[in-house]
Parts: sequence; structure tokens; C-alpha cells
Amino acid sequence: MTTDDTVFLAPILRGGRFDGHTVPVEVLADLAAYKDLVIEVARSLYLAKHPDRKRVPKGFEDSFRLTLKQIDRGSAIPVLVIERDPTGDLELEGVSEGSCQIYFDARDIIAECVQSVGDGHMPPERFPPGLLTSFNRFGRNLLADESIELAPNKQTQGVLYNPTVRRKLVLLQSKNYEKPLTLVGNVTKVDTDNATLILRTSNGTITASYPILMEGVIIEALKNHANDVRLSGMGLYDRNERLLRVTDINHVVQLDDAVSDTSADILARLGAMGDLRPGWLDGEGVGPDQATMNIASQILPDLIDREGLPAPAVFPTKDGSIQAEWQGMPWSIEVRFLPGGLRVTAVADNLVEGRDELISIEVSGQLTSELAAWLRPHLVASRRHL
Amino acid sequence: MNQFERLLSDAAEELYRQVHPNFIHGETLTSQVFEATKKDEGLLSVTRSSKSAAKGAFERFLAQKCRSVGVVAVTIAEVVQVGLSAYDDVQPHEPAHAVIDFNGISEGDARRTRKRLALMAQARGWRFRAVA
Repeated sequence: MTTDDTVFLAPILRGGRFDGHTVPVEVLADLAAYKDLVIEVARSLYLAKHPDRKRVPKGFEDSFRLTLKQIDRGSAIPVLVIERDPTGDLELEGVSEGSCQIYFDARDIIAECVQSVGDGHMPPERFPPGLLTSFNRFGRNLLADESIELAPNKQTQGVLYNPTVRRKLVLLQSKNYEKPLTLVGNVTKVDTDNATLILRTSNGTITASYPILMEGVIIEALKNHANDVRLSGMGLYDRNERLLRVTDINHVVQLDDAVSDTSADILARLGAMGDLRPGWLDGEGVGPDQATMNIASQILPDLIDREGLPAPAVFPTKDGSIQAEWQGMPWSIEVRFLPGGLRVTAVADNLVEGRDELISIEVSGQLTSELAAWLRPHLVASRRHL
Repeated sequence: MNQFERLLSDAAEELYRQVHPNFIHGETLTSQVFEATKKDEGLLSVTRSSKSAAKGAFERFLAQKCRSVGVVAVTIAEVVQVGLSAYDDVQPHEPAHAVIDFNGISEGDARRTRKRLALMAQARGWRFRAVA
């Protein structure tokens, strides 16, 4: 059991992957990044408080030990506690005074900054200038529908931190920011000296840095460059959501070129929708345009064959959209390819709790991976329920 | 007859709904089957099982130059369960006509309600299906 006086943060993790009261291991890296952010802010506070000093006392970073004590229920709540050093080694000048107060101050300033920028204002003046880019590491493994409520304890309402707020914070100071991605394409070139590769996708070529331990897999992908690979990792984006490069790769899978029978069935059904004439629905309705058909024909087979999602049922709608439906309990999901082929909207309805989650995505080279990342946790939750 | 008198209350009675050929994929119905259009003013057309067989409802529907591959059904108990009401609504072309009233609920609630009704109808199975 933890005691209230040692709890430093009880962040409430909400959204897809956290609905099962579990925390994916990738997200532990975000908690570590949060700890580093607290130390950076605390260091800045210390130096502001001690203008006579040029640097913090030796052992400053080590004096802040943050431990994941337990994961409580309520979506998923990892309880982070400060470990006090019983030997008194933490008695650093100005640091341990007031029971590590400087770290609690840093925690509160971070929350204040998140709140302010999330509400559309500038960061508070007491947030150290220059540290906004440190938010790039904290929360970069969160998916679009996930969030962290930065609550100091379980009794107090916290501040909402999600990918949108994180992006705002980072872009206040930097031109670029990172977020997870999945790309499909061919590896056309590998530079082993610099541990980079060139991936050719339907949207153009992109440079990707890979971990040196992955070199064998990457060389294999180059040898089989006629076949596509699916690559998951971290992408660097500019403020216009343009992918600049892949900064890290954590997974590479060789893909078979063949389209599955399931996808072939959907493609045939989509082809038939091209014959729909105005008034097809007993005098009402328009048929989907070619651009909408093209996007649906590209994305739906990719979701099934490359992302491994179950096949949806596919229907035309009266307004000329194409609607893919995954019916289940508790989540019943509709993805709509809107007329014009430029935008896709999706809504997941929780039929048990009577709530919904929505997303609207512009068509881009990352559409399949973004949609898959949003769909997957809902589909997994429904499968588990069934 | 006022609205109260037209309210349908026999929990076991089934309400038939026609299925457009584009609204079934394999054996999956789209929830659009239970979507009331603007033209319908939020009132979804159905046919009462106490006044008509499913096959008869299907044949009269086709006679109006509308398209259908068959008939599915929800019960009045299910309509009440999802928070809606159904009313008798006799029409010259369909003496067994009734409506499920979607008015007064939010767009999100209407969407979830359609989905629930579609799942219930699918679980019940076809009440009549045209031979392909």
C-alpha cells in the first residue's frame, strides 16, 4: 500500500489501450520521460532560486527517485511515489528542504503549463523557457484517442494531457514534433554507416533511422525489395503534419503481396457501388464518386491484409459516402469515406455505456496506420467482450 | 385518434422493416436499415405483424416501386427497451403501417439506437426473404 504523503502523481490513463486497466509497456517510457521533465524543471527552479550558483549540487538528479508502485483501477492509474532516502543522502542544499518540495513545485508548474496551453493560452511565465520541447518525449507513445489526466493523487481532479495538447506544447518552441507511425513500402537503399534506409511508399520516399541491432532485418528487407514491408516506429512531423523522416524503428514486417479473398470480396463490392445511380435508395441517394471509391479500395484491403484487422461489412450511404461497419459489443464502429475522397470520419459507439468516440482524418499516406491505430483497441475490446 | 390512443403496447408484437439490397453485405445488415430520413420527419416506417404477414408487407412494398430483399423485425418490447415509442399509422397504401418515433433524441443516441435495433433484428433473423 502507498501512503498519501509519498504519492507524487496518480495519472489517470484513458482511452483505447487503457480500457482494460492495463498499461502497455511502451507507455512506461512516457512515465520515465515525465520523470526527466520534472527533473529538468526542478533544476531550472533551483538555479532561479540560487542565482549565485551556476549548476545544481552534485547528485541532484539522483535525489529524485520516482517509482511505479501499483496500477489502480479506474481506466488505468499508475501510482508514482517518491522514494525517500532513509540514510539522509538527499540532504542536498536547497533540494530536500521541505520534503523534496522543489520536485512537487516542478510537478505543479508542469500541470499548470499543460492546462494553460491546452486551453489555448501561452505557457505560464514561471514555466522555464526552453523546456517546452521536453514534452516531445513525454506522451509520444500515446495514440490519438488516449490521454493522461495529470492528477496529483486519486482524490484530486487533474489536468488533461493528450496528443493534441502535447503537439501544441512542442510546436510552441520547435518546428517539428514526433508521433508514432506505421508505413508500408519497399526498402530501396540502406546506409549501414549511418544506420538509415530509404523507404519508397505510395506517398513518396522517406528516410528512416534504424537501431543498429535491427540491421539484419533491414538488409533482408532490402534483398526482398520487390515485396512491401510494414514499418512501425516514430515519425518526425512539421506543423503542417508533413512527415519529414522516421526517427526510430521498432518493428519491421515483410508483407506478402497477395490480396486476401476477404479483401477481394470487398473490392468487388466496392466496384459494384460504382454503378449506383442518383435515386438508388427508392428515389433518394447519390452514388459514391470515383475519388471516394479509390480511397476506400486502397485503405480497406490494407486494413485487413497489412494491419491484420477483421473485415468490415461495407455499404453505400445516401449522401455518396462509403461506410465500413464493424458491429460488435460493446463497440460498434462506422468508418465513413466522405464524398470527394479527401476525408475519413469514424465513430465508435459504446452500446453498453451509451457514449461515443469520434475521429476525423484527412486522407494522407499515413491514413491506414492512423485508422488502424484508432480502430484496433476498440476491436480488441469488443472481441474480448464477446 | 390521438397519439396516446395510437401508441402500440403489445410487447410481443413484431414490427417489420424492409431491407434494401445495398444494405446487406453477406449476412450483415447496416444500421442504416433503421435510419429514419428527413423526408420521414424522424418517423421510421414499419409494418405491424398483427395486421399483416411479412410476405404481404414485402409484396406491397415492391408494388410501390421500392426495392427490398426481405423483411426483418424488432418487437415493440425492444423498441421500448431502446427508449423509443411506436405508433399505429394506417396509410392508404399500407393498412398495417406503423412508425417508430426517433424524434427528440440526440444524433448520437439515434445512431446508437439504430445500431442496437439492427443487432436485435439480425439476432431474430429474416421474417421473409426473397429468393435470389
